[in-house]
Amino acid sequence: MIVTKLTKRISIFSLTFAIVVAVGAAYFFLRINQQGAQLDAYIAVISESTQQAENRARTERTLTETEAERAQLANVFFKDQSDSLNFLTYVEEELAPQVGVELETLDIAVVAVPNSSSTSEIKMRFAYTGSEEAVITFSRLLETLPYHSRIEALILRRVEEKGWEGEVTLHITVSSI
Amino acid sequence: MKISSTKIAAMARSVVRGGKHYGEHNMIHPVRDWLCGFVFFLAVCMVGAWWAATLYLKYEQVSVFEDASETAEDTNYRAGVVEAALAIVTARRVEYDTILARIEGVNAVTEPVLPGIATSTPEVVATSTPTTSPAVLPVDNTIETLPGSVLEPTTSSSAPEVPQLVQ
Repeated sequence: MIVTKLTKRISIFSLTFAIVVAVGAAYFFLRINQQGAQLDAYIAVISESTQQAENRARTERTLTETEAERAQLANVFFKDQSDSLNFLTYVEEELAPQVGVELETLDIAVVAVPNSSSTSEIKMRFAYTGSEEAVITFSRLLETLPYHSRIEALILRRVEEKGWEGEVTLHITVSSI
Repeated sequence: MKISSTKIAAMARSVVRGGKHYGEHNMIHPVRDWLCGFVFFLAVCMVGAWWAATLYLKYEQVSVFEDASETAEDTNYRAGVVEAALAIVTARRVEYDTILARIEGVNAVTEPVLPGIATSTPEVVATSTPTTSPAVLPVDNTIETLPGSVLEPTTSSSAPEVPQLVQ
């Protein structure tokens, strides 16, 4: 088999050209992959940012749409402890005379709610006397107060001279949210 | 060209024994080399085209905003819980108002209507009878209620206003 110089040159040139082309193709292949990965990273960042903006817009929309009902619910709670004084004034000066009972506030205190840092309770203890119907009606009113409240204890007893006597321990929630 | 069975057998024997008679001895074979090069070129072109098409389809559909809107999380607002709470509050409010209204109704019935005792308007004249007449007035045992001198029964409008516990 005879290998001429021309054959050698052509072979070397072909081999060199093939290597150069292969290296160039590999380089561009890597560059495209790198740029693609970078583009993916940019897209992920922009997507996350857009998603956060979308979530914020939805939250604001929800806040706007539910403002009335949240305000309605907020009124069910005492906003601070001063509300309890207004409530006491209302009960002592308006509600009890209207029902027809003699009311005495025995105790009022702030009670912490377990496992909650934003809420507490105002604990109030009332004693009231009056007719049987008045005492029961007043008890029902305290039971159905349109507040977030609970009755811890209720004692009703019949007293010879005064008619009926009631003693109730009432908790109303104070929410600072 | 028809190949006879003896020729096929001879070719098979030659292949089994090393195939010397049917091998290609030339190092440079223009047709073979051009054919191999052309096939290799086509293969490279096809692979490149496939790869380019894949990349094109991958990045052609890139739309950040569509993806974001699809993956955006809903705000965790428990509307059902709020509605249930509002229903409870409303029910308590209605019951409270009903009891209060009943009390006011009872108070309105049992409130005594005082006869013509001038309490706040003493200058109101009792009758339209001329007072200048010296004649003795006939005795009238009926007690007439003076306008403006009656203590109105407690009604919802005159009752002490209940503070707006729940709006």
